Amino acid sequence: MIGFAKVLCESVIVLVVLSFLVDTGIADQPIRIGGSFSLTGPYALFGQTQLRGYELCVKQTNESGGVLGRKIELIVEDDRSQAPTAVNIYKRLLSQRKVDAVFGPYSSTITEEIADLTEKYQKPLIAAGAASSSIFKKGRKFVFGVMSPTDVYFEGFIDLAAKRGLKTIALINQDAIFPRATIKGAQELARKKNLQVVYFDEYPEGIKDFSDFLEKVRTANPDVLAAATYFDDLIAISRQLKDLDINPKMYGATVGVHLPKFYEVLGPTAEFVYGATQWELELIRLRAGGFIPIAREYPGAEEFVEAYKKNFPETQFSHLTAASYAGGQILLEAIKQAGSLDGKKVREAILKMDFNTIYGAFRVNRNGLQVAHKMMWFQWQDGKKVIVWPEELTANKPRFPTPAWDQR
Amino acid sequence: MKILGVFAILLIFIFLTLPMDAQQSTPLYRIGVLNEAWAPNHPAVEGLKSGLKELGFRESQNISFDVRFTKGDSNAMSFLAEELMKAGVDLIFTSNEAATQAAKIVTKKIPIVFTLVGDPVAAGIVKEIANPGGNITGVSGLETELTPKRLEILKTLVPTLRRVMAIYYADDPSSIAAVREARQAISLLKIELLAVAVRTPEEITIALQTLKRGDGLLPPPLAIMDIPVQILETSLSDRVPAVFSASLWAEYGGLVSYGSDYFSQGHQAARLVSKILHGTRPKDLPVEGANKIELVVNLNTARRFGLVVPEEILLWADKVIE
Repeated sequence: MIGFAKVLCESVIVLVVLSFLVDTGIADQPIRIGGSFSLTGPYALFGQTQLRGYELCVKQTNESGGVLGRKIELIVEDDRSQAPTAVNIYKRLLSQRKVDAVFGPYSSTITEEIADLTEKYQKPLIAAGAASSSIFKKGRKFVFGVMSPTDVYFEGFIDLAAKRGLKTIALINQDAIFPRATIKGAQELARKKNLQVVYFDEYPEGIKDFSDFLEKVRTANPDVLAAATYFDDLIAISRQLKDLDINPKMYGATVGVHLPKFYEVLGPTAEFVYGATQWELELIRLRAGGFIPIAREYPGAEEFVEAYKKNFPETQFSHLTAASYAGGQILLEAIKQAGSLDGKKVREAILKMDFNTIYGAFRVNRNGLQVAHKMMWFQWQDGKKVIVWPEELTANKPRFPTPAWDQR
Repeated sequence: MKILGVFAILLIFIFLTLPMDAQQSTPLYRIGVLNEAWAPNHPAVEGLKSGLKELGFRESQNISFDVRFTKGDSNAMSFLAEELMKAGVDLIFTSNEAATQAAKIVTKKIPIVFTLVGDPVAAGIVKEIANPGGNITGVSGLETELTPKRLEILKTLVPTLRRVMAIYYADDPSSIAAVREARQAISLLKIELLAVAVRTPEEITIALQTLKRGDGLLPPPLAIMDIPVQILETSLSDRVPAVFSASLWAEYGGLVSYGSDYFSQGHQAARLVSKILHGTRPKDLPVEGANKIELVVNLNTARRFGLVVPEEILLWADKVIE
């Protein structure tokens, strides 16, 4: 009887809301979601792959009837990979164009800059392109992580090194929020695994000649080289390691190694390089311990990849595409659960979520820091990305130690 | 004396001009591996590799592994066992009863070391635990013997449990033995047992569709037809409590597990493998019971199921997953 009364009550509420929406004509209007994306500039490769994830999520949501009975309209602007431009775009989206919700941009640097704005307007920001844990440690209430945070980025790489008896590590990073935070996390992880940091340095964005830094790496003679990079610097560092004949037993980097373009550009130089990834298609086929399929942690991932190929043939695809698609899933699910576009209600819904997207587990703490998602490490082997960590998920072994350049 | 000196110098010269690998003359042992997993990384195999490494074996230097796995296809086992025999491996390492029986049928000469076999005497794999006889020995995982205890744990975790459904492959002796053990335990626990023998995936689906409130699930020890995975998926999606036989399942979402760890059994078996490779006859190596039996509780799953894990289970548990 209580159940019947509850259903009746809910039905009445839905009818009242719907009749209000019909009366005011809102039901006919789309939900407008805006965002700035790095479609040009140094982050373009990442920004473009990211945008396609959001676009696909919106398209599929609209095809299945939308959210709260309304279609979604995606408003896109190019921030040219520049934080000040992104700030202006979000300011305009929130104050003038009065969007109903926002999607997060690419990079921790840009997300950090716009997070105060979305905070001010109380619009939940699903940070699908940012992993710096510092973003979530400033008392903000409206920013939520999707990816594993920077603190744990190098966990797999350092674990693999320690298990192989390696003792020393050199750390380099671009002078930007995300790479800096990643290396800070790596220092702590190295300490826990008894790897001694024998060299640490930062390089400015945009430099092309890394020989000074790499000569210092050579002098330090580390077993392991860990680099927190973006794409262009990653390519330059990898090439110059070869040119200068510097031979750590393991060389791994964060952003860019996962892109197919990394191998396309470097060819055999990419072999043996380790990379961090938050998501790989191979996950669908992995069985933990040889028995338990982990695909259920990524529901819809296979269908997502098929839909991507159909909608965006011949385009670069990366975990960022999956992350932004998942960001869309999370925001739209939260709106559904809140039954409202009100930022505070959507925030409450997000905080309660224990949700699996195509990108994996999503759960945040009160600060919005992602606590459920899992990272992986792979190595380029014979032109393929082969997942090598966590070891219980895969039978693949890293090719170790990395041979000297003249022996590859 | 002078002639002897010349002869010695000549011998040293010949030795120094030999290729390095001939000088070392370390034999490369080939281990054939047979199980029903879906990938080469069965934890028992990983445990074996880890144990052999500790005993001084180095992969591709003095030991190699030829891993065959059936992906839950019971028909493939005998064929793959024969392949290993024909490949001329030095030893066959099996996990579970079906793999062990298949290996035993194809060879009376190649040593076999088994793991994950519940009762090797009852299964006719060995004559006696202390004197296994023939070319076979291994680690008994107590998969079937622990069945009553598993049911007891499930009942303690879920006091409202009224019936347990045990779905198993109809032709699997281990599962039949486990069901037999379960039957003996249910009256004490005041629960019913619904044993469902299946031979097709459709039968598994139909059985799982009949689950009702108050039911629990008892997966079989063998992964033929992917039955434990389907039970895990149903358990999680429909919130039906299930008790598994090894920690791997609880670590990946299963509510609770009680049994010997796959990895540990492989690790333990490495000593038997090493002794055999160094010349001991399998029949001179008594079958060992699994060293490590552990209770693992997944608190996340318990929370999702709305269960409050009793203090006695928490105190007993070797591992609590949060």
